[in-house]
Parts: sequence; structure tokens; C-alpha cells
Amino acid sequence: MLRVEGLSVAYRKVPALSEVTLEVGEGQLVGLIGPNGAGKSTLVKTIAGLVKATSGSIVFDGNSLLGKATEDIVRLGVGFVPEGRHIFQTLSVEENLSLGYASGRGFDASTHDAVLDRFPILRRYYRDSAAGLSGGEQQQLAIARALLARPRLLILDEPSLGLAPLMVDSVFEVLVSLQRDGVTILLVEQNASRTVATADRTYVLGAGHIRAQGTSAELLSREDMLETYLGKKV
Amino acid sequence: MHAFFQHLIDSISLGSLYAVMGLSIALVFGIMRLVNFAQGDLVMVGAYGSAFATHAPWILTLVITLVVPVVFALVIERIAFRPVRGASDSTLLVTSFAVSYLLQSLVLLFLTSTPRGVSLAPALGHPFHVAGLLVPWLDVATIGATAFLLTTLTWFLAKTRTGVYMRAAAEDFTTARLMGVRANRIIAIAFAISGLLTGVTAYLTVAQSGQVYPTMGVNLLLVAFVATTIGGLGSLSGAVFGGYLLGIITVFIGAYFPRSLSSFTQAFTYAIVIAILVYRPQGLLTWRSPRTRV
Ligand SMILES: Nc1ncnc2c1ncn2[C@@H]1O[C@H](COP(=O)(O)OP(=O)(O)O)[C@@H](O)[C@H]1O
Ligand SMILES: [Mg+2]
Repeated sequence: MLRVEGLSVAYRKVPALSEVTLEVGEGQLVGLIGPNGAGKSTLVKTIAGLVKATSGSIVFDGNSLLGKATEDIVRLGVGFVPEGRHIFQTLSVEENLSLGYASGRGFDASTHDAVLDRFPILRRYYRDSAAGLSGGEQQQLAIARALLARPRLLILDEPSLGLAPLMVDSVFEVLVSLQRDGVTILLVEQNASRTVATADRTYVLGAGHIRAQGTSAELLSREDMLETYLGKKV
Repeated sequence: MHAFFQHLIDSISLGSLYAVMGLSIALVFGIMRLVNFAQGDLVMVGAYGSAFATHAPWILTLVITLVVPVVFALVIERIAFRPVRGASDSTLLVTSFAVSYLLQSLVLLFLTSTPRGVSLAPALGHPFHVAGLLVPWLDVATIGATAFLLTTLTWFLAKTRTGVYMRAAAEDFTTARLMGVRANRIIAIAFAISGLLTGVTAYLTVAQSGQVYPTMGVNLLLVAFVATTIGGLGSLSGAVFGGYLLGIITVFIGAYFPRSLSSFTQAFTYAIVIAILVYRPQGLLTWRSPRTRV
């Protein structure tokens, strides 16, 4: 569904991604982990058309995404939950959710109800300012907002960042249940062990290079991976 | 006391003009982080529109005065500002100055620099008496039109989906685009609305002053820019508030200052403005922090 091939990105000649190749198949939950500064967000932003690539290709559903405007990429069916959530603080919860309809998919009552059923807290604060929500609630709002657009591929950038452990659990539960409902997911995380355990396949990014990839069993069998990226002593 | 109310009406009328003009600047600034210094020249362009259509039925003259700045605003956005979108603040600023001079030069080139007399809606020039006050119908029209515009714009921003998208884009343009909001469309809408607001300013200004000339927008632009700065750049309610405040300061300083100092009234007005900005550099009605720009 999404295929990134040989992708290189540089900020003012300083390389941030080098020859990154990655694939997300229909219905899969694919993880992308790596330490701070590895280039994870750069990859997300390049897919979103916010950062220019120096070489390589990004193809989604047969459409080349490179060179397309961000809003057109979203309109093709890619949903984003950006790093840091980026809730509109000056808007109410309801208005934030209405941004989910900006991608051109019209209002759909059953989707709306289903999404709100998944995040009951948003119903409670529906008319309140989004600025008053806690971090975890804002993350739910960011995910709900993206889901209302009924994306075929959902890309989340560090959704568990800064959340209390219980909230992290619920974010991962939501992702698993979304996948069960047929949503394809690319999950970018620093929470490596959780991601590897949850994802069908995980890519490990380090200093702009894909260092490894594989299923949870494959990655866990590699001692170097365990030590370097999963924080476990062998 | 009687004189006080007379001045109050004058100041609200003048403040309305400033408020509408300030709003047109704040609207574009809110979305693009661009202070469009050509906004004043859009007033001038609209004013020339009214001059050419002055013998048409009044409703047609009005429509032309409103539509001409909208068209110019859209064209300017398309050919001047879109190519430099996302460039540095100084690039945007220089571009807006360039557009401003270009519009003035075009008028100088094809028309003349001498002011042209225009009699717009002469009926509005007559005053009526109420409670011993002499109120020109033009003041009523100005205050009424402004109130209508402010109410409609508030409703649009609060209740329509496009309005919500505009507010979202004003807060965080990149994230709005990540949700699928079309940058080109939302910016075009902002320019169109601000063009409409300048059109209203143009009509009321010409009706009041009775003349049009190539640099007529310059002073209005300055005043409106000051109004938005007092209120806090980017805050729409701040621009309106700043407009009315500036109208009140201007009229009352002019009215209660000794005659011998009358040539200094502008200086005193701006001294007050500077004092306000020293006290609150971010503007009176701003509490938001700087955000991402387009
Ligand atoms: N806008 C930018 N300008 C210059 N360098 C950047 C910019 N954004 C990120 N970088 C650099 O690119 C590298 C990758 O950053 P990022 O993609 O944010 O990593 P991650 O999301 O994995 O933490 C870092 O070295 C970072 O400093
Ligand atoms: Mg990141």
C-alpha cells in the first residue's frame, strides 16, 4: 500500500535520511523505531509532503507522493497523527473533530458515532475548549480527528510520547483494535519494546539508515538489536 | 455634555472605518503572517471603481466598489504573494510594498495624480436631528454597515465549516493542511474577505471625502496598521478593538486640544499609541504565542 524506496532527505546538505526503503502492506501494522534524532519524524514529514526528498520514491496506492501538496496527499487517503499531537488550542473539541472532514470525505454519521464510541471522553468534553484536555485526552482527540477522515493508511508519530503508562496502554489497545477493523497503520515510536511486540513488522532506524527490520521474533533473536534499541541486557 | 455625545458619534463612526480596515489586515496576517501594505491601495482601487461607476444606479456603484477590490485582492494573492509563500518575513514585506507601489504607479500611469471629485450617495451627507444632536446619515450608514459586517464575519468564523478551517489555519497552518485543508483555497478566501472589507472602506471613505487620488490609501493603511498593532496583530477582535480605540483617541484629542496645538494632534495620537505599545508590546488583546507560519 505504501512503498518508500531509496529515500534520501537532507536539511541544508546535512543528511537526515539515507537510502531508506520501507513497505507497509494493506491491513498491516508496521512499526518504525529508533532513538531521538534518528530521522523518524523526517520520514513522516517527507511522506506528508512537508519536507523535500533529495532522491528516492514514495508510492501510495500506485500514486507517487513526492512533489504533491500535503493536503492532496491527505486527500488520497493518508491520515496523520503528528508528533506532539498538534491539537488546535483555540478550537473546541467538536471543532477540532470537524477538521477530520477537511480531507474531502464528507460527514458520515456512523463513522462519527463509531469514533466517538471509541473515545467516550471526547463526547463528555464535546463543546469545551480543546486546550483544557489532558495530554492523554489530546492524543485521543488527535487520533479521533484523523480517523474521521476514514484514512486507508494511518501514520502516527510518537503517539505515546509524554503519556502516563495507563494512557500508553490504551493508545496501543486502540491501534490493535483499529488494525482489526481494517485500518493500515504505520506506527512511529521510541517505545521500542511495545512497538516490536505490537507490530506485524518493525523497522529500526538509526542515524538516517534502516539498521534492521523484521517481525518481533526476528528482532528479538538478534542480540545487537536487543541491546542497542530495545534497552535489554543480554 | 452635548458636545461630548456629538464627538462620541463621530469617533464611533471614524473608529468603524478603522476597525473594518484593521480587520482586513488582521485577517490576512492571521493566516499568512503577512502584513499586506497593499491593502490601503485596494481601498484606492475600489475608490476609483466607484468614481467610474458614479453615474450608475447607486446599488450598481456600490457593488462595483465592493467587487473591484475583491478581484484585485485575489489577483495579487495569485501572482504576487503565492510565489513567495513561506518565504522570510522581510521577503513578504518587500513584496507587499512592491505591490503597493505598483498599484499606485498603474493608476498614475493610466489616470492622473490629481484628485478626482466623486459624489457618492449625496443623500447620506444630510444630517438628521436627534436629542439635539446633528447626526449625518453617513455616520449611521458607517456604523450600521460595520456592525453588520462584524456580526456576519463572526458568524462565518464561528459557525461555518470553512470558518472553522480558517481559524484552524490561523492557529497552525501546517497541521490544518495535514488534516486536508486546502492552503490555496483558504488563503484565497481570506484575501477575498479582506478585499470585501476594503471595498466597504472605499465606499464609505469616498462618500465622506468626495474625492479619489492615487495615494489615498496610504494614510488609511497606516492608521489601520496601527489599530491592529494596538489590538495585537493577528487577533481579529483586537483589530476591531484597536480601530475603535484609535477612532476615539483621534476624535477626542482633536476636539479637546487647544486650537494652537491642533497641528500636533496626530503627534499626540501616536504618542498615546506608542505608550500603549511600550506598556503592552504584544497588543492589548493578544495572549497567544507566535505560531507556525505558512
Ligand atoms: N527542520 C530541520 N532543520 C534542520 N535539521 C533538522 C530539522 N528537523 C530535524 N532535523 C535534524 O534531522 C535529524 C532527524 O530528526 P527527526 O526526524 O526529528 O528525528 P526523530 O523524529 O527520529 O527524533 C536530527 O539530527 C535533527 O536535528
Ligand atoms: Mg520525532
